[in-house]
Amino acid sequence: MAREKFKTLTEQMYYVLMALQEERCGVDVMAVVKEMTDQRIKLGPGTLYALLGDFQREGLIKETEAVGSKRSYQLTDEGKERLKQEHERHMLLIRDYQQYFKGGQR
Amino acid sequence: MRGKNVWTKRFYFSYKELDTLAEFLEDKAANGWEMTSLLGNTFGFRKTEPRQAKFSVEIVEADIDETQKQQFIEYCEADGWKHIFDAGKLQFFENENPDADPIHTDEEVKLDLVYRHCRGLSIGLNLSMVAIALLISGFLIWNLDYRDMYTSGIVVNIFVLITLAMMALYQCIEFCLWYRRSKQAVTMGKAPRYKQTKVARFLDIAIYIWATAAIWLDDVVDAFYSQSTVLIALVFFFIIGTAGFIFLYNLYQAKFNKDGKTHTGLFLLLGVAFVALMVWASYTFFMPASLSEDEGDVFLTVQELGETSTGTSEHWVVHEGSPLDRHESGSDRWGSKKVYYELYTARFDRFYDAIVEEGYLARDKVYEEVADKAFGADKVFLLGKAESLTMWLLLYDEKILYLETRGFDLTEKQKEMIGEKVKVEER
Repeated sequence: MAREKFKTLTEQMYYVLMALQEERCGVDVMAVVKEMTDQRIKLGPGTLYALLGDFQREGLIKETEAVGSKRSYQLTDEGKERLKQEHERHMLLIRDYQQYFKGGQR
Repeated sequence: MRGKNVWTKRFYFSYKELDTLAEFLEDKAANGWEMTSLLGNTFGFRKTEPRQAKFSVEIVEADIDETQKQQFIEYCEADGWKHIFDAGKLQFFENENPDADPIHTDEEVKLDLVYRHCRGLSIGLNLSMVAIALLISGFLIWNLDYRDMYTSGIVVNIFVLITLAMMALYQCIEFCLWYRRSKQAVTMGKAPRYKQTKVARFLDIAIYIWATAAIWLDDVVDAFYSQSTVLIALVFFFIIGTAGFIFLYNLYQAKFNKDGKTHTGLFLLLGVAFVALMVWASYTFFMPASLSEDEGDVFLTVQELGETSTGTSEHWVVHEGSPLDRHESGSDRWGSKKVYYELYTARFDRFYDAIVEEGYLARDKVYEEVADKAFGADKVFLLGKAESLTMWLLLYDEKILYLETRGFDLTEKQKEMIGEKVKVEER
């Protein structure tokens, strides 16, 4: 079944939103995600470009500055809320895992 | 076409086969050919040193502006991808590192992008085919009742319709299956397939050639004789003009272009001019002459009717797409005497509707049917008689004669002669 748009986030979506806690341009976002994940997450420029467009259309991020072709973005309140929800969902996953495997082998 | 330092090669691809296209460029680079241009499906290459590199062909949204495109290119260049060619919606990149990470790392995002572009194209293509099919079927239905219409044959028309329907169906099924498989692959964490098999490519090309040939055989040839299908003829010449231009372009690039520059803008301009010239020339030199032809002898002359010698005579056969448009007409006059006629090959019911539309007859008026056996016609209507002008409409088995005489009244003998002429006339 198709995943509802942004109801759950892929790893790349998650890290892009995290990187945009601060105002950043796309090139910086790629660098920050690499650094944050120690290059574990591969964020291709095509994927980043498409995600920034989608996030902006959905109101999760906003454009803050445009100098020539360089544009900077930052999370909106809605984006922050969405990121927080996703974090909580991950925490729930971890909690469930820990409870399920607690004290024994399955 | 291949020269020493430049090479133009056609490569058929669709938006969902971009990986195949990238591999094609990688193969060319490994053999020392660098891409320099793209016109339609024709790629231009320049000779360079052979190199191992990775290529990527990316779709950009149709509605993005130049700044947004530059932004995308900057992202890619920041990741090590060198922008090598801008072809509008398609952007070509090269990476010196053959093991570089791809530009798209989220298959779902890429699939969504490719899907949206392919869907738009697919809908457009299918709508075009349906429109052409409707156009052809319109002519087909219109002409079913008439044995002597411009069409070269119902079988060929049906063949064209089936071809178009098959093309539309093939496109839809192939696209839906591809998208379903790709979606499943993404769900399972695999990469969708953006490649096309040789069989599929062969089918694609074959079906287009088949359809083009079918359309050419039937309606485009007949379009020379049909004003109502002038548009099809113009499209035909447009295609011929385009093909001719691409051939000349390839010839120039392969044989005469020494500096390796492609001059794409200049050639596009020349191409538009060349195609426009072809269309204009074809319309000017071929069309009007074939819309109506002077076919020599006048069917019915004043002289034949025993009224002194012939003055001036004209006789035309008009080829078009309706019963009113596929007829022969003639006039002959001497002094104040005149015979004018239009001879149609059509069944009366459709003919009647058509001539009412044309204004010859009023639908709500009851015309006088006269019991005049002399013409030997099934029905004879006297459409009007005023001073020296008399107008008749004579219905025969599958022929209809509209007749005007001015300056004299037909004698019984003349009427019999007209009836005989219509019956033996098999033009």
